[in-house]
Amino acid sequence: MSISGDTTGRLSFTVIDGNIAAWGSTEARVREAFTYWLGAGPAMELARPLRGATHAVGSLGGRPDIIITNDQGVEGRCLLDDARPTPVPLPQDYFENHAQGRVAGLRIEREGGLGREALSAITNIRPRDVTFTVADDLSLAIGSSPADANAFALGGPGFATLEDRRNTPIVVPYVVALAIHNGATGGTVDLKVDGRRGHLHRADYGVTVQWTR
Amino acid sequence: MFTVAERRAISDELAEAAERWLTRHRLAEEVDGRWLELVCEDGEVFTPNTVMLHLAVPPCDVSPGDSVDVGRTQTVAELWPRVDAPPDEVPRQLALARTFVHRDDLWVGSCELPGPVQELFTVEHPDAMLSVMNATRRTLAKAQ
Repeated sequence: MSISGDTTGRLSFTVIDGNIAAWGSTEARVREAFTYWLGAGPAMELARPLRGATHAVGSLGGRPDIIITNDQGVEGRCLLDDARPTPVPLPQDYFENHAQGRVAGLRIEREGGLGREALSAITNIRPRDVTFTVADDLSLAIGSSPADANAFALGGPGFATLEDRRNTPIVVPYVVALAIHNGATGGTVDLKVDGRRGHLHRADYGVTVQWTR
Repeated sequence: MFTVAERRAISDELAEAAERWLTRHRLAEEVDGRWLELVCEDGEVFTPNTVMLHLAVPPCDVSPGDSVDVGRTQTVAELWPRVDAPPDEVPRQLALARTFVHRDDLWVGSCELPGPVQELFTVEHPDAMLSVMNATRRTLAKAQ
């Protein structure tokens, strides 16, 4: 996980899993731009001073490590990890003006999310790619391939496709399928893919996921 | 912070857990399958003649709050292992100890974590930061 700040007042977190990256950001006062990498597990040491605090300061420590201290003097530390290449976000108009091949899109906006059975259907496909398809009746099929006869079907409403194209399979990596399920539980999820790249945005926490095939 | 512990109470499991912690955090390394080198604050290499953790856990008779002179007076903050400590717990203060002093039969480890060297950011809504940090991490979590 990386933690980075920019002087426009954003503090961002980036997590990378192979060719898949996820990032989210929050407001902060940042003195000068920085990026540091932390182990995703050890980074949770930084969570302790954030809970229930009204104010927190993040500093670079001398070990070297990141130190977060809250208004009550509670401190969390995490050693820095080796730096990695930072993924570059796709241009905002990528799918409109730079897409490679046909673009397919899916919006999920369903009260309560996709539910436990859908999660079970996804995890049964692990670790293979997962295919999402909106059918003519606006139900969502979750399967291991476009031709999966045993695909799990979830009734609508709550599913919309780009240009209302139905029966168009959207294939995503397993981890992204989990992210879709996770994000749909808290709010709207927007997914777009082309021949090479994919982009997912979960509105609940403003987290974006991006990957290449 | 300052930590003193009793050797007699330490199990092999606990010592091994502490060694793993030290190695993972690059504070020490295994040498000849048995020794650990500890890099001191001043840059010198501290090379005990047995496993460092055994040196750091002597028989001693101090209690939290006692003042101990280790070249300067420090207050004992924690004894290790605690009576109710989980078997694999390694106190940060001991694992991070950078300086060991031998006095009579007492080895004591002192630990002063380096303080901040540069302020990076300030957040007025720490809960929001925590939520985004957790959500970002969990978005790519495979184990659900």
